[in-house]
Amino acid sequence: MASSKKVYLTDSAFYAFINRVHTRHNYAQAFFRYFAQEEYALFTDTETITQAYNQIYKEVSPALAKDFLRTIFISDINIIYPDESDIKAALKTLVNYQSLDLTFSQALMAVLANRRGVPQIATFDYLHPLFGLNTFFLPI
Amino acid sequence: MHNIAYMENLLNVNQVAFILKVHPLTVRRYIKEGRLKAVRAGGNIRIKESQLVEFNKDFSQTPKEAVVRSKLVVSKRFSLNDPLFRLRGRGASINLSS
Repeated sequence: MASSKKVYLTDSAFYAFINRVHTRHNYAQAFFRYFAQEEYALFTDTETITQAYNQIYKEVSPALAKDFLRTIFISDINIIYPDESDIKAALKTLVNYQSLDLTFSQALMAVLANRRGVPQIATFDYLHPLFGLNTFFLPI
Repeated sequence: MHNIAYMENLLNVNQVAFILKVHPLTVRRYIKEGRLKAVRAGGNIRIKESQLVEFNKDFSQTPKEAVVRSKLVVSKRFSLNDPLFRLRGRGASINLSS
């Protein structure tokens, strides 16, 4: 199946990549290696970065959290800065969505990925089936 | 007689509603708001075919959306030299259950 070389990264992907005792650390490593080899365009947003930063800060160390921020802004990962219309669209999605376990940041991420034409999301969390977005899997 | 031959085709509200796949009241609202131009034939509202074509053009992509889409074209590619690889497995959480 031919697929677009665009992937959206969630905080769980960053955290699993950095934290070597994370149960999904090896998967996360394989993901990033594959993205680099295949020259994928990676996307993330400021909200996701903040969440990853907070998680690293609390669970690992504040120094590493600071390093993470410094690195992510010089990396070739495309950072999306949500504007007013993105926030409003995410809020509308959240209000209209039936399931109560969808969070605002997940809705925002889905809106941003959809608007930027990113069809896949690399995550280790449950992904809500919004706008036809799919979870990224490594091809075997 | 000559002018009638060149007279434009006129449509009534129901016909326009059918074409646009909206309710006739919606068409009347468009007219009231001045978005769709109409003429009065006697006491009846009629819409010129050319006006309807012009109105349909309003639904094409707005410049704002075009700008958003143009942002998509410029995207950096991830590579093996990326500084993010320096962070690979750099930390270990204390909570082993995570």
